[in-house]
Amino acid sequence: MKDRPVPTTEIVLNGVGASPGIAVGKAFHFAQIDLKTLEENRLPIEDVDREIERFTDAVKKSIEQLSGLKESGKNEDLADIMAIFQVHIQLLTDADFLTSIPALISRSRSNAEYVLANQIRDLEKRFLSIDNEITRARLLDVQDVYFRLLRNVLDIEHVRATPLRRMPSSVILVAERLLPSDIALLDLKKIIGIAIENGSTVSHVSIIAKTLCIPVLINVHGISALSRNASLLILDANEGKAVLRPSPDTVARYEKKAKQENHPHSRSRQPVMKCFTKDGIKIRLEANAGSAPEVREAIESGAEGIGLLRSELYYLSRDSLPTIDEETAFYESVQVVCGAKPLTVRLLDIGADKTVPYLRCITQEENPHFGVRGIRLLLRNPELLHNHLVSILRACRKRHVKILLPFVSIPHEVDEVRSIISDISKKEGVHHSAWTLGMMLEVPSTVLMLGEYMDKIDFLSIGTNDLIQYLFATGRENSGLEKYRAAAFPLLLRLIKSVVDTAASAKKELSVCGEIAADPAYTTHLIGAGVRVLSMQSCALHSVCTALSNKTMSDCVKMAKAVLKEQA
Amino acid sequence: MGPTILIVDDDANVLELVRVNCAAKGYTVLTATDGNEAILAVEKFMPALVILDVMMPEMDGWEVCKILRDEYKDSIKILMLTAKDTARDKMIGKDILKADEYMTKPFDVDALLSTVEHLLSKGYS
Repeated sequence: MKDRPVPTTEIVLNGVGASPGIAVGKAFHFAQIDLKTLEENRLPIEDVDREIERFTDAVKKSIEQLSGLKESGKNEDLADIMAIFQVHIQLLTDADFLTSIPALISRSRSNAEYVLANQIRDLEKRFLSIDNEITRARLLDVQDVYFRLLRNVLDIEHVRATPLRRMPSSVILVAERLLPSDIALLDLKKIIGIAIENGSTVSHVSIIAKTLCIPVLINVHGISALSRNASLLILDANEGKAVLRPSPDTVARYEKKAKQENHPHSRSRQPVMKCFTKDGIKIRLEANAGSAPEVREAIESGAEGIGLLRSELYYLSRDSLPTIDEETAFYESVQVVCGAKPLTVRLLDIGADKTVPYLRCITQEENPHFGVRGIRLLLRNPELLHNHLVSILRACRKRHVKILLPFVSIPHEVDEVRSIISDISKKEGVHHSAWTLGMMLEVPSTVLMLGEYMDKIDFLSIGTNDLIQYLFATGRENSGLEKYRAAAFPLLLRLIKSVVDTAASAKKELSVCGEIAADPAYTTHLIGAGVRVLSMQSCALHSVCTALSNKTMSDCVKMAKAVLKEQA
Repeated sequence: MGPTILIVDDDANVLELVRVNCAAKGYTVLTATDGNEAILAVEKFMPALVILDVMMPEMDGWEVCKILRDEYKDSIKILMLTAKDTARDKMIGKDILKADEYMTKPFDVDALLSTVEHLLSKGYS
């Protein structure tokens, strides 16, 4: 391709690594269609009925597109995203919405896109005036669906995907931001790295990329304007840097670095052997998974068990509530893959950012991360909980299952669930030794009053993502809070150390299953603080194992002590 | 030789009319009859300006415009020349998809040439 000369000086931009790894490749720019102008372009209309028809036609088209996306989206890596589209459909079929917009068009005698764009602007103002990060994060979903509707009113939805069809293989995707519907358009197999101007380490794109071992750098301000399409770009998500217009020497250096540091994260996953520290202390590495294929991949990658089976992903992959037989069959299929290795099933963790559209028990909340989610939601919906537990317990007849409770915040919740499980076990003829009961430590209250749970549970799992969110009031989708997340580790480690001590004296099993369990930069500290079981995405098993096998326990303890001292 | 202009239109008459007049002004003129051809021509010849029709088979002018803006940013000028003449169409072309200019058919050749000249002088100023 002929090209105009461009400056050759290297530019280094800083960002935050949201999924580890290094990528060296050509940039591919993805830009959303900018619809801001619609707010100011009022086009007076003569035929109100025709304008309302344009709106209703666009709603129909949008619903068809979203249904199509949902149907085609059988990729389990994208299960969360697909569920969001069902929420979008619900927004588009909301009776108030379907009457209020035509009324506004009629009253103002304005074009549909002007009315809709101003509705979004008003919604934005309202969302942003609420001093609540979670509510603000919800704005992205609303914008996503409104933007789709606007593009359909304008009949330009097809324009959005066209540039992406031209995306070559092995590119680094550069974008200002990525909405869920953008992610669904991407062919992730072609992407070796992602650089975005705005984002969060725990946003959908970051989590999906981590699962797929794609390096992601977020908050790389200026990269869209400064990098050129198809120009060489280096992404070092391990050190939080992007290098534009790299010199040949820099490219060579990073290619070498990528070979050394990416090896464990490469997509050709090597199975890990059992993990020991350099001086021979055994560390148990398990995997997080959400589907039978993920469980298979984890076991094939050398996981010593499934430390977190996210049962909500099974629900999210469906269009309707599973029958008990169907759900039991799911757990049995997972057990077959696990073989003799332990399986921990976390009960449905829905509510907050994960909603299952066909479950009518979920209500819209102003502040869902602090509302009815996890075990709270299940206890409020006894039939749902009952069938969920019957399905799991029937699978226990064949092999032992560890049942993990999400979002526990008071001891009574554990008592209630244990009592229900015991009753069902009796009715179903499942021996009490066929299951054990554990809880997620993700709400700060449970960590602070851990002693009160010790005679109620058999094992513990620390969910560091939510624990950090609730400890530091850092919404998971908010990109501006990375410095708070980064600052959280010393206190988090101190809390983990206290949990380790309490669990050890009560002889309870303990594992860590949050994102930091998969990050070699933190795992040595965790081991130094006394953690002996980690559960992570399967592609991180190798890198964590390698990092730990290069350190003695005394190294790990020293590292942990240094951080704890810093915190003290 | 003057700057290179790519004319994209599936109407052979329009294509010829614009080609002849631009060539007479000393520009190097390339032509394409659909969006895919246009993108290939841009990749190969990197024109300074693309005169772009909207309603074309396979890939329409809106799509071509989005690709050019995504991939080449402002380094290529885009003049939409189309029969789509509503205020909404103009808003899509200029304000949303960021074409530099938007002219509707039927068009005045002198006005077109004057716009071309203006855009190219902006590009090289």
